[in-house]
Amino acid sequence: MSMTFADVWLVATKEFREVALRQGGSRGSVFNLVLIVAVFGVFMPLQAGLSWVQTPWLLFTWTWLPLFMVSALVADSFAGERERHTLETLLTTPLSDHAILFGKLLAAVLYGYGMLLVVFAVSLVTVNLRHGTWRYPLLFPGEVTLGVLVIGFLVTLFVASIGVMISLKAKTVRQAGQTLSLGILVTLWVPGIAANYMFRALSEPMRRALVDWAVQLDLWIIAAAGVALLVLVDAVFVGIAMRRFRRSQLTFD
Amino acid sequence: MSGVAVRTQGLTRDYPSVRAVDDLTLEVPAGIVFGFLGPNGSGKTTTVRLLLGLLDPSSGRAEILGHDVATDAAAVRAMSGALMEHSGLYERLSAEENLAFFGRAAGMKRSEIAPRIRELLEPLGLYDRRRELVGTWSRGMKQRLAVGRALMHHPRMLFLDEPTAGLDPVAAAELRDDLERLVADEGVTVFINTHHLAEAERLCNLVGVIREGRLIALGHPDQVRGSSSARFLMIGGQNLGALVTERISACAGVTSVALEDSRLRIELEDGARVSDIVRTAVEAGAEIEEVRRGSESLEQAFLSLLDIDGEMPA
Repeated sequence: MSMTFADVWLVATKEFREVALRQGGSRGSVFNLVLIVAVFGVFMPLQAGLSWVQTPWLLFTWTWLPLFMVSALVADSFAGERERHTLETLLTTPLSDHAILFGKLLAAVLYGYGMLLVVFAVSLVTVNLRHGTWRYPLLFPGEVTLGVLVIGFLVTLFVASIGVMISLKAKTVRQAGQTLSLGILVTLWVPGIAANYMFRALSEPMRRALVDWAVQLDLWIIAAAGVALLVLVDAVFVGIAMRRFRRSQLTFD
Repeated sequence: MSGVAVRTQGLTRDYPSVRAVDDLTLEVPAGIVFGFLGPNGSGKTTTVRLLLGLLDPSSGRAEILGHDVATDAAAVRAMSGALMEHSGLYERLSAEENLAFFGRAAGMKRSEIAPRIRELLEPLGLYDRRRELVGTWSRGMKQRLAVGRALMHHPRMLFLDEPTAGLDPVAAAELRDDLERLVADEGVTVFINTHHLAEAERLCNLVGVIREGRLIALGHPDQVRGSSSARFLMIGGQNLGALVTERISACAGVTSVALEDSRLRIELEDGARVSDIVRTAVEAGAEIEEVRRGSESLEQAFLSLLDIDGEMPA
């Protein structure tokens, strides 16, 4: 049976209702969401002051927010169904493999990206209430907004796809969560540490030449390269998840 | 409904260390309740997984309602409902949300969902509680809801894997009542895995017995009883001593004679003539007061087929 968007949406809404809204009880979930909005949308902008809307690099650090939002949801996606003995029944439905996979991915992306947008908007309101005026509202620069929206989405998709892939094979949610945390840590830290060591290993003239070259680089070229890299990585991970998700390859117990 | 609902030919599934299903060839007519009997680990659940296309066979093939499970598994699942080893319900969703999700997943229209939920839950006595989270329900209620869930989209084929396992006797009896009624109302073909023989005797028109992945008996429950050398004769009275036992043992068709509670229990095979046995006993000095011919329960036949002494496997 072919995949339809209605099927993908059906799985996504089920996932969203079951895991995102009711994990740890409805009240606990709402409290968690409010806490995140309060910290990232109110407290941090108040601390940063005007630099919140004036420093592009500060804003780009935000794009990693979904990473933390999505982790719990994707770790639960398949491992949670396996742990709660619902996976096999889900697989007895006529829903296609791709509808189930993309439904779970969509739920995670909507959750993480939605939270990013909410926090982004609330932080803007916070900064304006503290430092702005009605006549001259403080806004993020257009290119920064675009960058956050694009990179934020790609980061969300990155975590969602790698998380779903790990959850497919994990026996428990805890195991999936631990592996995912380790995976993200390795993905983010290892290249940074490796680059640092490689930089130190260079001779002084080479280091200086590299720094001079980097200083001349346009911020937007770096952003574009980052986006291209993320698109490539996302495509690879989604592709691997599609290949790995086959009913007959999954264990139920 | 007519035709064949389930057809397998040489269906085999190997795991790294064990052959779970071994050359299974089976035909289940449409419109009946088929009981697949076997102890734990005999290959029943693997068979259902193969029939639903959740596992690939190592060799052989299977068809459900004319659709090959290897090449047309989506069609098989579209016309099948399944209650597997666990209820498979989302405990953080309400009963209504569960049924709506599975109904929509099977392609039901939104407008069909609410009336169908009412139709299924009212007879089960669960309709008034449809908005409660399933996680707050008892195991028996969940299992009844799971049967309703499996029937939600009007499937033509229903797979039930040990539906009463883990339920207390009262809940199990209630579920059997519900099953019997729902199956009659819905007119589906049912493939039920069980090791509860009373359940099979009550619900099934046809039973198959599986041991270590191989089908060892197939037929109506009465036939399966007969296939296990399960007929016997009980003779009660006086003077049923060693001489009588010895003479009866020599009669044609008698396989064993044993004294049980002042009665002789005589195991028979095809060709045994009761009149000859009674005459032999009288000639040997027995004063006969009672003669009763009977057959084993399906449970005894099942144990006999599996060559198991004593208790049923848990």
